[in-house]
Amino acid sequence: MKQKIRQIINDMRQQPLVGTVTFIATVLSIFLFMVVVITSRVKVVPFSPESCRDRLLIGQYIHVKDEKGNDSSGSMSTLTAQKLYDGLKGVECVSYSQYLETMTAAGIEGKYFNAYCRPTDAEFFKVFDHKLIAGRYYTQEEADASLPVVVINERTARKAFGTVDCLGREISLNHKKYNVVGVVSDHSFLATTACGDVFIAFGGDKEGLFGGTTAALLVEEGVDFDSVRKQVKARYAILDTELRPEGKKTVYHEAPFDQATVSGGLRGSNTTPDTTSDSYVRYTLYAILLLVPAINLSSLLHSRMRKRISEIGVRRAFGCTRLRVITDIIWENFLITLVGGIVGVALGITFALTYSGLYEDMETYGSGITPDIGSVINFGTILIAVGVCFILNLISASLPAWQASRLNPVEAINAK
Amino acid sequence: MKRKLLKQMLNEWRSNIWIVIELVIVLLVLQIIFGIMYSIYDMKQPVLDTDIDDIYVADVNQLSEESEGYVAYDSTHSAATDLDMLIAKLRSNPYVEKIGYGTGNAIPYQYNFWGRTISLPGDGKKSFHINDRGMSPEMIEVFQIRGIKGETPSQLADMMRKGYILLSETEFSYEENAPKAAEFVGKDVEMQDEPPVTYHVGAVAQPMRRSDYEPLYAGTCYEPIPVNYAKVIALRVKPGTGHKFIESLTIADQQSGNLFLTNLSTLSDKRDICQMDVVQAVRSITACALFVLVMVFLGFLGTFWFRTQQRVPEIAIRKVNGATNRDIYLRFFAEGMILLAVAVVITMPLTIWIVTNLAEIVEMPFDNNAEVAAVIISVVVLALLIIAGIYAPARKAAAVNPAEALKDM
Repeated sequence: MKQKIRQIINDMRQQPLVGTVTFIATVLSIFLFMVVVITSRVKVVPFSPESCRDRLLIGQYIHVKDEKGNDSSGSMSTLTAQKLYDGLKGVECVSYSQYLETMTAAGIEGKYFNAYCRPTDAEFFKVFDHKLIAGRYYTQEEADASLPVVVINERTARKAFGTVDCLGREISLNHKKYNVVGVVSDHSFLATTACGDVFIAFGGDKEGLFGGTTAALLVEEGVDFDSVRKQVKARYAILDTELRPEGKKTVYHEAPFDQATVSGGLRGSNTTPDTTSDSYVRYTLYAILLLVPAINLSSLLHSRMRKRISEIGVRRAFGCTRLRVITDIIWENFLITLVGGIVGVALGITFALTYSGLYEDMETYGSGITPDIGSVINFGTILIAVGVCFILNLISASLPAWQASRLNPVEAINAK
Repeated sequence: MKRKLLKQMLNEWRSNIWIVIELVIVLLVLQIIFGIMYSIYDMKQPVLDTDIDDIYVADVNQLSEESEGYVAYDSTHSAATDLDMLIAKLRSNPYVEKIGYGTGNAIPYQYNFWGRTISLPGDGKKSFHINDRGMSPEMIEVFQIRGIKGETPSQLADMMRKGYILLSETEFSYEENAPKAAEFVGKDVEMQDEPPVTYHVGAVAQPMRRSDYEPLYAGTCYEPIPVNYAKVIALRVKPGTGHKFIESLTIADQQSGNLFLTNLSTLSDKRDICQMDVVQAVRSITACALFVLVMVFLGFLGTFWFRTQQRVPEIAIRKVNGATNRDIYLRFFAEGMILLAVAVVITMPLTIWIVTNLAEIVEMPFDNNAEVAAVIISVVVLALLIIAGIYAPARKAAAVNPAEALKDM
């Protein structure tokens, strides 16, 4: 190993520009690849308060057609959501919550600030694992009665009261006063279904077909998502019988959706999310991000190998096998890729953890949203990083190594 | 010289083939990226023909009955009187020029769409699809909407005060058999509702799209609404006011009776939020384009740097035989351009496929010129990058001292 490292350093010294270009290209490739991977992974990997993502299904919209073919679609009322999602087999718990809404908040001394508020039922805190640091969650009775009680996060507690020790104090939201019953720790707003500054006890909108409700279903361990969808589809059929006197019929769009589908964007309330084309785009992007630098690095390695033709010739003359030449070159190249990879991954992780522009959307604009560190640095990310280095190395080094191994020792020794 | 150069390139085919493969992939990627970017910028057209930094918008909210300070409505006090008071308060602000109110669908840069149909009574065939934007007449002056026959915003506002509606044409109005808003002007029309409502169409006005990047699928209908329908307010401040207006506002200025304002911001801020997905898409594909371009640059820099080292004796002999520095530069650049030309020829069938299918691939409405422009821009940008990558090695080659170089042989 020591000899290999010495050889790499010597090679770099002899060809400083080509060596530097190779290193920069490796760092840049792995940096960008990791940023792309991390950005899409943080939307699907479980982390608190959405540790349940592997068992989570989301129902959001309802789409109906009338006899003339006119479409109406949008978010469901809680009444509709309950008809579709209450009491399903294989579902441990269902929560009904509303969209995140920006409200004008005020605590002491009438200092006003904007807070992201989410009206929810009490089940919300069973589905999502917020970390309670003081007080309690509101009860289902309080939520059903829409009593003015809230659970707030640390950031809001400090803004409103200057301290997290604020249980029993009043916070004003859109000029209505609420009692703080609990404080939860701050969390990443990349937990798009569970995040919020303030959670308001809410019994739901119990009239009409449409409203602003999202249903979050915590599926039991080992239960197949499709079996839940089948039951929901049957509920749509029952809803159709209720709508028939009004001349309306529902259009089913494969709801409820898993986290991967939700993270790709549902693309409106009147379409079925197309996860296949999203996957094609993603994999094409990955392929481009790997293939272009791999070809580049291969070309550079090919050039570097030409400098070492004599050395390879001598080794072959002294009995070194072709396989050994190939593995040595690939191994040497892997070490360079690994060093470049470590720098690239470090830069990628730093960028992904600090640059909120990667994640902000219309709902969370200006919130300075960044991912939870655990969702970025984890076993999966490290495995992907090592895998990328390995694949990049394999694609870029295989052919030059194979060509080098095919050299005629006599001609190689004579080569200048 | 050309034949010798080609032969020399053929001798180095192993190294050149990688460069060509890389150029082929990069060319295809750039064609798609530049096609998308060209279309996005070609499609971009500001929603309003006025400075939107001077326009502020806010949501109108109502206290709930449990709220402290809630005053029950009676015969003399209603949401309408509260809004009148609130508007009067804001109008008295020295920086405010015009103020109006509207439904949630009255302002641009949000994706609400209230689709309705208007038709001539008794003639069901002649109908026109509209996005209904209910608002007070003053909103026309706030947004500086003009008529297509030269009517000023205040003339259009006067028409709305008479209860007339204003219509705009759509993207499709210019097609031969498509319904046109102009056909309804000066006539009484029925607006789809239960039961249908009759309106008089006052004029054809400028449209209000939902965002700078969205085509006008349906005509805009500016419909006068009563004050109790108000969900938003919009106001125009005097030019050059900047942040002075927002700094001059107190919480009390934003409240009246049971009503209060939230999310007060300039329309330009609202635009930035609404169009964030487009900005993010542009940012992502720009990063991708930059990445592949940097890769090409590094590839040419590294490969040609190495070639320069290999070719020192050959360059020295050329110089001894009278080749100038310019000749050496040109030889290197020609090599790069030939590699690009080979890549262009290889990509041609795929380029033609991309040109004919790009709109479907990226699911975007494409201008006819976008695809051709994408191909031309890709080749030009790559050519410039190749020249930049080759420049340093070529400069090094041109600086070879023939005597020194040949002495070492």
